[in-house]
Amino acid sequence: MNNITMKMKKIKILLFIGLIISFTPIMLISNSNETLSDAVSFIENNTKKVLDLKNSNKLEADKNRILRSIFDEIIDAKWLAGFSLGKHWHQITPEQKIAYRGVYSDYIFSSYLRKFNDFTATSYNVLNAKASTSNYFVVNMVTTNPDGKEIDITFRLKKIDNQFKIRDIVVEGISNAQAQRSEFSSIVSDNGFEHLIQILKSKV
Amino acid sequence: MLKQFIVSCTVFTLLFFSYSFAEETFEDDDYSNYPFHEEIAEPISDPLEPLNRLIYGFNRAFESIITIPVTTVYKAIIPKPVRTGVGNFMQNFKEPVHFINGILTLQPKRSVDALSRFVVNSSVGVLGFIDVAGASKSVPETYDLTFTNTFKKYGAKRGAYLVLPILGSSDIRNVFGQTADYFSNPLTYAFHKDFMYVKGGVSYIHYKNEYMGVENHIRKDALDEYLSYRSYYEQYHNEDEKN
Repeated sequence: MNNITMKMKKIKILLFIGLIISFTPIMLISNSNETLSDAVSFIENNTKKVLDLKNSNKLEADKNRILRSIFDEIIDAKWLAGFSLGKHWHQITPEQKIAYRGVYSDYIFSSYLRKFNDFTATSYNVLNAKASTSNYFVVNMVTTNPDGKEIDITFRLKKIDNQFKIRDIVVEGISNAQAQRSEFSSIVSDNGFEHLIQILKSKV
Repeated sequence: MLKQFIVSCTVFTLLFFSYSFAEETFEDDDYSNYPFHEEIAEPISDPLEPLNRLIYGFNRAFESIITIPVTTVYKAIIPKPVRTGVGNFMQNFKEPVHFINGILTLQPKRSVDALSRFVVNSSVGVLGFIDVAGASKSVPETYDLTFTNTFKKYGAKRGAYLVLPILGSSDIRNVFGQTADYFSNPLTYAFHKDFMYVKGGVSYIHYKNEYMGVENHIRKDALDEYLSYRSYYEQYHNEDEKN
């Protein structure tokens, strides 16, 4: 009797462990799929928000204000500021970092504002999303201009604190962040950090 | 004993899941784990930067005085279907070179594609003005079958970044490649040299018209136009380097 009872207990334990092991991949896959669809929704929703704003009858000042709030919410300007500086980021003081981030944020918003004003695409289609390492995600989209020309756009997102942030936008294979990094690094190497700050301020 | 074992398993499992699905809740200031870092297959070298900058300055002046006004008139006067036809003609003109490079790179099928496109577009497509092969999607495109890519396939490195007068961004391999494209094309010898000069000029204006919008964007955002152009050139050709 005791042997049978022991055997039953062992079987129950094995069943319990087996359930956990078999349930694990299901949970991992469903969580992964959910996150990818969240990434797609993030891009779709914000693209629609921006396009609706562009096509609205609001005053330009109001559009700029709303665009700035969208920008602050979805673009990781703080991270981009450091990335754009490359190796020089770790060479500047914490005070310089704070000042630089402020100026950089205004500069990159000005840059996106120009793109917003020049944006003429009549339609867009979010194609797919895939996960990369370190909680990064890539979302691919194609926009169509009035002349029928299609443009491939890739968004590189990072999920932080259950929220997505855009860290790079790649248009037709050209990475905005990479281009800035190359440019900023050269300027700092040749003319110093303060020169970069002055140029950024002049571009705002 | 058994109860403790089961509780331990459950706690362990819960900890495992919570660790697996945990997202970073601290500010990620570490750029070393950015997965898209090492993208540039062959970083551009620019040992002639001072000279390149001079030529770039000349090119910008040339554009302001000549290219932009001519391109503006070209776009205003020539209807879009005609401009599209011009682009198709220019592309069709290169198909013999694509045919040759398809053979040199041991891609016979693509070589035949280039020949097919040339024959179809030159005949039915009225000397290439109508891209019949492209519209019907019957034959794949072959625009990448150039001597530049052939040189790359056989190990030639990109070489120094160059800014060519009027023509703009290039590199040593590309200069040799485009020169070889020109002299290897049988059509170069089939037409009078005056026609080739006019064709070259029209091709330049057509190309500038197509990319003027993109170039304006680069300039508006650039802190240093020269560096921006160089970076965009490096990235634009990086896909070729990676393949």
